[in-house]
Amino acid sequence: MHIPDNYLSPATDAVLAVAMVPIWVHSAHKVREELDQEQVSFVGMAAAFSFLLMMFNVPLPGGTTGHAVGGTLIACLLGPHAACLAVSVALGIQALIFGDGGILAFGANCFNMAFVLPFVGHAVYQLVLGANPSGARRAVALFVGAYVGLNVAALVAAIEFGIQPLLFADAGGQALYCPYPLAVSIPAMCIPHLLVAGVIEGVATVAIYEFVARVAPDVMIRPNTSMRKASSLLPVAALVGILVVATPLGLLAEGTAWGEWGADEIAETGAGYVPAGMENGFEWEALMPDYTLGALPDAVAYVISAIAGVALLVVAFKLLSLAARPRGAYAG
Amino acid sequence: MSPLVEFCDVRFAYASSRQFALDGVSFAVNEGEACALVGPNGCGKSTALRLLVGLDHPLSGEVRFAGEAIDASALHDVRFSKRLRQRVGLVFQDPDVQLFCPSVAEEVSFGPRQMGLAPEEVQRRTDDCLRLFDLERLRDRAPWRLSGGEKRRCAIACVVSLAPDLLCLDEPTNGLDDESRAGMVAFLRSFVAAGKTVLVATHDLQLVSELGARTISLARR
Amino acid sequence: MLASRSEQESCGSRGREPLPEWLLCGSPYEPSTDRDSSMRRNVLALTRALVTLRAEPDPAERRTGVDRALGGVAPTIRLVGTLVLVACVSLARNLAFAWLMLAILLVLCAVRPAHRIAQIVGPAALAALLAFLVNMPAVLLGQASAPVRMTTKTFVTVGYVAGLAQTLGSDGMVAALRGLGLAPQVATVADLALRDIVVLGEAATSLSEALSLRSVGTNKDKTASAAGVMGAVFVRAQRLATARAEAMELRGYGLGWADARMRRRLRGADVAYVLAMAAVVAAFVYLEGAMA
Repeated sequence: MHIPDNYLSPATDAVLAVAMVPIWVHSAHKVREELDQEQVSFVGMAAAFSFLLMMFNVPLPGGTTGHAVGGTLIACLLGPHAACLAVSVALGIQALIFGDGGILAFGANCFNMAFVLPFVGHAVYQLVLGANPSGARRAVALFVGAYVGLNVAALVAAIEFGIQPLLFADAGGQALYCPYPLAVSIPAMCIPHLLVAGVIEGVATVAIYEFVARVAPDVMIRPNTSMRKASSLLPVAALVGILVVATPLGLLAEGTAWGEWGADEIAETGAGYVPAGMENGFEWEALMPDYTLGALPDAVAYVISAIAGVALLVVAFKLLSLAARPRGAYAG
Repeated sequence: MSPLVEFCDVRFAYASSRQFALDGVSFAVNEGEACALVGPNGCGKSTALRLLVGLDHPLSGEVRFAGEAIDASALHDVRFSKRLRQRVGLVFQDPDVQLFCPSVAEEVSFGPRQMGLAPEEVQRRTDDCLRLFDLERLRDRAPWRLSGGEKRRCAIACVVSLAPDLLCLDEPTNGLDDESRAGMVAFLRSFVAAGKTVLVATHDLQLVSELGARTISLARR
Repeated sequence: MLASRSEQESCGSRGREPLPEWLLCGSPYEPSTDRDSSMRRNVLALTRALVTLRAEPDPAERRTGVDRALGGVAPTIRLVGTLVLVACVSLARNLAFAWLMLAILLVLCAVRPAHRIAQIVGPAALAALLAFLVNMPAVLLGQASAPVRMTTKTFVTVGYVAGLAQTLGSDGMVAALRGLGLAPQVATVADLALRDIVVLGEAATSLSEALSLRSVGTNKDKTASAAGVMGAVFVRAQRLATARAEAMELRGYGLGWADARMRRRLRGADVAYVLAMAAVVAAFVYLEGAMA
């Protein structure tokens, strides 16, 4: 679901980026209020899960690939505001370092995956959860919340794509940016997410949430912030390590995700032409484009990318946790 | 009548340490009382005094003086913090790091001059304090030229010149000879007898009994 | 100086003289809203920074697995290894090796507590920023890759050195230098100077706190107060140095006794570390050759 540069007009990019600013500011305030130092530190690990999930590409019907995001997972573990920040940082790292997702389109990607996804997912989760939930009900709530959250985000992205030809076309009627109208973009994005990617998101969310709840309940946010029993983050770190090593599996799925083609690929996808905005658009030279590193074999570079991304996220949020209140300190 | 000093379930750890210096400490000191914080080295006596004057702030729980909470937001009010530091006089354990003026007389008069008192009043307070603590012949001497005991008396004098309601002393008898010690104890007894309050952090149990102080024990974690 | 009998008597009676009236029932004090001077606050902040920026290992802190593993390696070997790493990163012509070492640095940081990470990333980021600013003109000359390269290399090299300093501590660093043949006198001076900086930082902090506790009104001469604090610190420094010199002399320092450095045998941890460094050099050679 990462929107590359030049698929959305600069105007669209700008509007969505501006819309994200108060959301980020508000989320930062709420995180400062609600989470203590250990929890903010853990946001880094949760962001690492999201980052890794986004590296596991799965083949989707239609020959494209897709991936889970994990935004709802973070929202249920640490609150939707923390999820917003975590996914935003992960997307930022992916855009700057790995060229996954555009730089100008950063605002749009954050809007879809760091705002719509976790907030909708969390709201649905709470709705299904109800009061005094059993273990099974919580699992169902997690799955449904994650599933709905991902699909609503996909729908929003599809709408962002689909309105481009309507709003931004040249004199000859050719689209300047994304050439596919709503009638194409919505089914193309939503059907694979409804059928496959949403299921993966739901399953991953339930599995990881239950795992963390069992081994490290200490760092999760709960309605009653009374005594928490001690827990260890070592198993969580081990899970992250396993996922890192397994990331090359994401290379097995061939084909580019819908809406993530390069300018060279788009003509063959059925549009028949390369939109002018894409041909002459903004280019960003990422350090490790598409998670490759020069002459190193793809799998090795993929794992190194995963390691670097995870480490960067953990370090970034640990540094941010210095600004949070220490565990045991009263809030406000 | 509510206590003058209250510590309610106070927890505090220094930034560089994972261990709590104070872990769930609660006690109260009434006006006109002499109290002693006792306990082994490292049990948090000095830390408690620092929290009382707002040099550090508790992680949880509350520190109150005269019914008002002492925390970061309260001390943000400049007038409140100045009033607090005039009413609560803290004398550090190490007198060397308390003295920074060129002469003993200036050291003692620093506080009253700050308060904007009339020059005659400043002079009167300085003379009284120098006399009370037997520093008259040392009035023009530089603080770093004093002996250990003289420095300690000077450190107390320059806090007393502020006319505090509560005097907090950290190991006040360290390094004092018998005579100076007797003078110190006599002063503190007069201070309490006049209705003021004294809070001493000490492991000198003889001082505690000489003052007739109520003991508050702090255990080391 | 023994007091005469009459002085003793008057001293004894002094303590029992009545307390002055202003002390017993002073009128309530209404302070002004005059703020603390920025100079004094800056002095306090600076002295606090002197104490906290010192990246010494804390014995009370729980050591991570990485720290425990590295702790078994001889300080001299670690110092040489770090220097080799710094040399490789500096000599690398393309960035692949630097990125690889950056990824490893990030992983080593990720397992540490937050304030320890800040002690490594802080100086590294500062140095990288300086490197970036110095290399900015290259962008104007059309060489956009130069600032990126210099910034990355600076961050990586300073990061590793800061990590070494943090885990070794000042004791370990001096021990490492002595292992390389540093003269004992120089090592001792360096060691003492490092300890003194911390002690003086703490003294300056306490003096500033004492000043703030007695600043209950309007300080018409803030500069003099701040200067008084710094003067007291200076006096304390001079006193400390004199006392220590006398103590050292009393214990035979400077009489030319043999340097009692204990020779340390090579351990498994040392061998493992040397092999790891060899792998780093091999990676350097491979990446430089493969991407030339």
